[in-house]
Amino acid sequence: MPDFPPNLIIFAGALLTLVFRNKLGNLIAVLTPAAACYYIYTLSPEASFTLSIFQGFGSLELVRIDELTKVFGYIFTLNAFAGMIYSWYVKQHSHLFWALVYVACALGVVFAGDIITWYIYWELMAVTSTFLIISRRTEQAYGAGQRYLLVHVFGGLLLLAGVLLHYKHTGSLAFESFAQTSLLNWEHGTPLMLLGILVNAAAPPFGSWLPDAYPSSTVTAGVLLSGYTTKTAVYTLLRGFTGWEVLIWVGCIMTIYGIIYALLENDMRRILAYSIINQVGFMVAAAGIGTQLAINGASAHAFCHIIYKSLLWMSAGAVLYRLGKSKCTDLGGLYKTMPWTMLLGTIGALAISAVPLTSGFTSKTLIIEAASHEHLYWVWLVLEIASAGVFLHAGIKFPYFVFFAKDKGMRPKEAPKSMLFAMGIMAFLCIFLGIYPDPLYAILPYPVEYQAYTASHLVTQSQLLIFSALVFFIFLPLLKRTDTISLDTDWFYRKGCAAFYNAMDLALNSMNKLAYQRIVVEFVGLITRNVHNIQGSFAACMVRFGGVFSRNANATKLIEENTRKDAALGSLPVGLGVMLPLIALILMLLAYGV
Amino acid sequence: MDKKIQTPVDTNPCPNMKRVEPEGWNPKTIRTLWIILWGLCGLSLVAELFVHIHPHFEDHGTGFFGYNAVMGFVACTVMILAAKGLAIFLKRKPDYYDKDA
Repeated sequence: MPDFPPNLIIFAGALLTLVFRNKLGNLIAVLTPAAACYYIYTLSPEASFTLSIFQGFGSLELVRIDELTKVFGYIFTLNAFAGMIYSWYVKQHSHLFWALVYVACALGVVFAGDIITWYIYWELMAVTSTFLIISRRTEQAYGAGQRYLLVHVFGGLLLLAGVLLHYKHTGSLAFESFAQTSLLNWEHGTPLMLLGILVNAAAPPFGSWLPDAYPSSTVTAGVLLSGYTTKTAVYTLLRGFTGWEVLIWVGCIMTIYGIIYALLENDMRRILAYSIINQVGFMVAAAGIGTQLAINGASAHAFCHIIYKSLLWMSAGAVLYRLGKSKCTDLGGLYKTMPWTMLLGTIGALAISAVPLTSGFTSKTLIIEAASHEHLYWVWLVLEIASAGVFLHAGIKFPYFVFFAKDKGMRPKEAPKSMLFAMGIMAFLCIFLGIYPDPLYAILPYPVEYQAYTASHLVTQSQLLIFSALVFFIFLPLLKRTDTISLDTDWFYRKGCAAFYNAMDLALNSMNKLAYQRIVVEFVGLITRNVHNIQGSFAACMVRFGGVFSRNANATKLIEENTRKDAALGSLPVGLGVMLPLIALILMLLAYGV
Repeated sequence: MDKKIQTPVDTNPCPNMKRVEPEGWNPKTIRTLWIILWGLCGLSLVAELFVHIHPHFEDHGTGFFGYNAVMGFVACTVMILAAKGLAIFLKRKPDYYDKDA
């Protein structure tokens, strides 16, 4: 039994970065994920760590170790290690703190053995990642962070409802493979849980938070965010929902949706964000296929994906760091002065495209092989089409428009050395696992009998990719970047909420305005006008009454005016001046007293 | 939001970054790159002559020569055209969402 959960090391590291607000703090941030990685390596399978907090619920299992948790544990800590080297330049240690806490919570999700622990860490991830997003401190980041949190609270509430219903239905809190049920049997709890998880997996129509929030975050936060939230969702699907057929189709839709939107996008970090949805689609589909080969494929792909996606975000981050710009329409020609960033970023782009000799080739093909093994022709076809599309939108489009294309005459400095070093580690892993995937295959949940490097695989994959590249350059005029954004499902809540606000503003505030005009201004005004010189009005009334018998109407009118003025000024003879208010008072008393 | 901080805290745009006249691409280089690309396409097809391909789903007509090349070409063309078509409905000015703020 382990003495403590592995994420405790990272929590401690996070606190220490706040204590040591100098380079020592940065060093701690780099070393603690590495220490956690080693600690996970030493943990024996079947180990567990339990804690009794809630009486009557049984104990919480904070640590449960098996092959699947270990794969995700390794890659989560490894990515944090590289990400923190990349963040060496960061002086605001609160950024490091939130990043490490976020990573620790993601590890908490992976190691959770019961659904209460899992749920708590899941929600903590949403909260801590919001801080990562708003730490950029731009108006856009504040807005995106707010929307991000609201969407995740929505997903979290679905999860909570699902967890409670599941407990009521089965009486078990174990986080294990859940019995498959129709999505309409919501009282079983698991369908609601699945919906909540798909919000985090960024499956459409709930996925637009991702391209909204991640590209608004800081340079370093983007690198870390790209690795964890969606991948904990993938882990959860692999743990609890393997073989749920609906996931196959959700995954297939995600792969194509990500490509189409990435093709439309202008902002380099939003291209990468849509590309995450595309890649997670492969893993979700694999979880749906649910065979041993598919689960191996999804785990391997998650492992490699985190590495090359981090690398891509790092290179985009380096450009953003140096130029403060992220729109493709503003970028171009950067290879001249940022050759290393270009080279390393391109390795990431080739890896995501599953070019032979890169890690994408040895991991993604496992998933496609799994679809073909199960004779799922349409799934296989969609995944093949998506593989070609990845090369189009991420493999070529990202490096082409950022580093080549039209030179804009900008000659920034090369990225800082710490950034290049971190990118170097990731690029090395992309190629190493592409050439020699055996160490990765060895840690997968099930034994691997797959041979990535056969002549047949190499030829078919090369044909697919080279002809995709040909299409890119033939249609280049159509792909020319415009300074635009594309509407996604966040339109419904961004425009919808604004419309709701405006409608409420119009309805309630016009009622308010009308009431103010009619009651406060007009009605009260009427009363005040007639009451403020009541004795004058009364005296004038009496004069007018007497004037009925007068022949000279003009004289009566003059006397009436003068009386009214005298009463207002209090210059009436004393007796009259006292009597008139008295009468007025008596009248008022009578009027209010009755 | 009372405090509108427009410069992100995490970027470091060099204030005196060197700027030069944008340089165009040499047409010769572009021509060479096109030749290489077409050459690679041809090479990948030629390679199929020497390798025994194990096609998946032969019963769905995936077994013909150059199937993967055709699929890569057609799939990408369709996706680009689809994206281009959707762009008519989906593209907006970058300040589209700021108008209501």
